[in-house]
Amino acid sequence: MNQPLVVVLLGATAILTLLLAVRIWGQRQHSRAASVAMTALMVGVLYWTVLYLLEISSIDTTFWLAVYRLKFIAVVLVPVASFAFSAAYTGRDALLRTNTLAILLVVPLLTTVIIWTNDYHHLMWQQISRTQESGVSTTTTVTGMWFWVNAFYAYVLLLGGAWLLLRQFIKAPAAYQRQLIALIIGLAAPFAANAVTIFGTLQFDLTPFAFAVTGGALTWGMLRFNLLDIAPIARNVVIDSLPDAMFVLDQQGRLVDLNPAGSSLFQAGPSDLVGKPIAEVAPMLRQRPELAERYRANTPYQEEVTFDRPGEPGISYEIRISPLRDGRGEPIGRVVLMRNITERKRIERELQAQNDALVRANAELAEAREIAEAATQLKNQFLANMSHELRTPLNAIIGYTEIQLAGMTGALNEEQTRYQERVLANSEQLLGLINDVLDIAKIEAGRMNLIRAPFALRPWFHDLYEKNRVLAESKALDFKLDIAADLPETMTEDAIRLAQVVTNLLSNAIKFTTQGLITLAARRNDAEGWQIAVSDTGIGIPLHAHETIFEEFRQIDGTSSRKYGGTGLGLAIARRIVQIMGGTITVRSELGVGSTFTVALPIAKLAESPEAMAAAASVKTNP
Amino acid sequence: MTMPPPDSTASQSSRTDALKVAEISSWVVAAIDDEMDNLTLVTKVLTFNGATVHTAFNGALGLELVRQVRPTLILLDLSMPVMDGWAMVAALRADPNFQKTPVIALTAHAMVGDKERILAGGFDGYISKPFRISTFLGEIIRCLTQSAQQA
Repeated sequence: MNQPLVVVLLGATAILTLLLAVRIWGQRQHSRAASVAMTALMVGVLYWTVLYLLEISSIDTTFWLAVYRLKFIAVVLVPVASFAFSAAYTGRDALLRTNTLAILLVVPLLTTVIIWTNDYHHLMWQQISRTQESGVSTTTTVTGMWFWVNAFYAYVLLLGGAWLLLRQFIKAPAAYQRQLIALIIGLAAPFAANAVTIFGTLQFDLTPFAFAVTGGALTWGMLRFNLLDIAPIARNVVIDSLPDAMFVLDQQGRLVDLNPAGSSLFQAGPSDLVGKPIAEVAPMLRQRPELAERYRANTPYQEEVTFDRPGEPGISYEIRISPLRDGRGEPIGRVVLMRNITERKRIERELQAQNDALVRANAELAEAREIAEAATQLKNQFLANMSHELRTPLNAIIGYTEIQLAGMTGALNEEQTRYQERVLANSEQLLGLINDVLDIAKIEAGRMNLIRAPFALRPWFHDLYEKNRVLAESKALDFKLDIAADLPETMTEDAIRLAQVVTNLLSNAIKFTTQGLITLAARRNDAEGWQIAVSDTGIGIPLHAHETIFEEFRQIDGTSSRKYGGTGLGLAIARRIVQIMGGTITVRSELGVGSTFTVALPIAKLAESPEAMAAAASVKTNP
Repeated sequence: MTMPPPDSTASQSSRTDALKVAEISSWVVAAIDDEMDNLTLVTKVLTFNGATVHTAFNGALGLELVRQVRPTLILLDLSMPVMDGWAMVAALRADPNFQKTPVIALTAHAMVGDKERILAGGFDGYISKPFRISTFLGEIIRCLTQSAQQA
C-alpha cells in the first residue's frame, strides 16, 4: 500500500469521526443513551486513528512504543462502546446499568494493565518490532496469549451487538430497516477489517481505515433516515405493551407494522396482516367505508367512533391518526392509534344519566314545592278571606248593639239594656273565637311565619303594661312590672307575636284573679336565654291540669268556660307561638294561691347590621 | 256617651291641640265603604256627636266626594268594587289638595301584619272591624292630633 495514502486516509477518517462525534453529541436529547454511546464510539475511533497516525509516523522508538501502548486504550474500549450503542439503540436498558457496564469493562481493564506490564510476562506480545519505509513505520508483533483473549472478547461484543441489531431488524418496519442496515454495516466494517488484519498477511492494520466506512455508513444513515432522530429506542417496551392498538400504514393504506394490541384488534397475527390493505383486514372499516376515505388525508386527525364487533355491540374507539413523513417532509404513511373508550363512554353515559335523573328530581322537587307553596298561598288567602267575611257581619252586630247601648237611638229599658249587653258580650266572645281559630289554622297551615327583628325591650314591656293596666284596675288588682336590669335594651324576636303571647297570659291572669297582685316580670336566665313570667294570686290550677291547659279546646272543666268565657285556645296558641320561637312555656300553680306562667326564650342573635339597628329604632318610635 | 280621653301619649304642649280636635262638631268626615251597615254605623256615631258625615260606596265615588266636600278626615274601607281603598289612598296622596288629609283605614282586614302593611301604604290610622266606639273615636282623635301637630 502506498504509505502517504494511508496517512491521508487516516487523517480523513479522523476528521470524519470528529465531525460525527460532535453531530451526534448535539443530538443527544432525542435518545440519550444511544447518542452517548455513539459519541463514545466515535471519540474512541478518533483517538485510535490519531494514535495510529502517531504510531506509524513516529521516529523515536520509545515514543513509538508508548503510542502503541496508548493506542490500546481505544482498541479495548471501542468494542464496549459499540456494544453499548447497540444495546441502547435496541432499548436494552438492562445492559446499560452501571453494574453491567463495570463487568463489560473488566477485560479491557485487564488488557490495559497487561499491555503496560508486558515486559514482565509477555502475555500480550512476545516480540515487538518495527520496520520503517519512506517515513512510515509498520509495527510487527509476535502475539501473546492475552492478545487472543482480548480479540475473542472484542468479537463477542461485536457479535452480541450485531445480534441485538439483527433481532431489531427482523421486527422493524421497512423505514427503520434501511437505517439498521446502515448501522450494521457501519459497526461490522472495522471488525471485518480487523479480522483481515489479524488473520491475513497485510502489513497494515486495516481497522482504522474501516472506521471511515463506519463513519460514512453512519453519516448516510443519519442524513438519509434521521438516524437517532427517530431511533426506535424502547420501541418493544413501550409500543408492544401499549394497551391501545397501534398500526402503521403506508401511503397506499397497507399495514406496515402493528403492535400486539393491534393484532388482537384485527384478530389475526402480524404475519397475516402486514402488507394487506387496512380496509381488507379491519372489519370495522367495512361497516363504515367512509372512515377509510377520511383517513387518507395527510393531516393529524382524531375522532370517536363506535363499531359493532361480533358478540360485542357498541365498542367505542378514540382514533388518532398522525401522518408519517420522511427526512424531506414527504408523506410516507400514517400512524393510527385506536384506544378502546367503551368503558369511559359507559361511565360518561351513566354519569349523564345520573345527572339527568338529578335534574329531573330537582325539577320535580321544585314543582312539588311550587304546588305546596301555591296550596299554602291558597290556604292563607282563604284564611284572610274567612277572617274578613266573619268580621264584616260581626261589625254590624257589635256596632248596632253598642249604638243602642250608648243611647244613640233613644233610651232602652232595663231588660233591653241587659239583653243588648248579652249580645255584645257574646259577639265579643265570637270575635275572640274567630281570632283564635284563625290563629290555630294559620299555625296548622304552617303559615305562622315569625318576623324576627330587633325591638326595644323596655318600651315594648311598658306598652304591654299600659294596655292591660286598665283591665287590672277595673278589677281593683295591683299590677306590677318588673324588668331586670341585666336584660339588654334590644331583643331580636317577633315582637307582635310575643306580645300576643304575653297579652294572653295577662288577660288570663286578670280573668282568674279576684283580688291581689298581677306581676309581669322579665329577666335573663343565662347567656343564651331569657324569660318572661306572668304571676297572679288567682284561683290556681289543679296539678292534673298543668299539662292539659296547653292543649286546644281545653279548659280546666266545662264550667269554667261558662263562668270565665274564652275559647280555650289562648294557651294552645301561646304555646305554639313560643315553640316556633324555639322557647318553652311552663306553669307553676297552687289551687287558691295563684299561678305563674313562664315563657323561656332563646336570645336570638341577629347581626348588628345597620338595617337591624334601624328596625329597632322604628319599633321604638312607632310601637 | 262619654268623651274618650285625649291621647295619653301626647305630650303636654300638644294637649291643647288635642282638645281642639276633640270638638267633634268641627269634623267634616268622608266615609267610603261598600258596606251600607258600616256607613250607617259610622254616620250615626259621628253625627250623634255633632260631626258632618258624607258617604260614598267605592273609591272612585269617594274621590269625587272628597273633591266636593274637602273633608277634615277620611274613613276608608279597603275591599271595595270599582276602586279599592289602596288605589284611592294612592290617588289622594298624589293629589296636592289631599296629601295632608288624614286617612284612616276602617277595615275587616285584621290578620297579623295587616296593620303594618296598611300604615306603610299611605294611611295615617287603622281601625279594625268590628270596632268599639271608644277605639273608633280614639283613633280618629289620635290621627287628627298628629295631623294638627304636623301642620
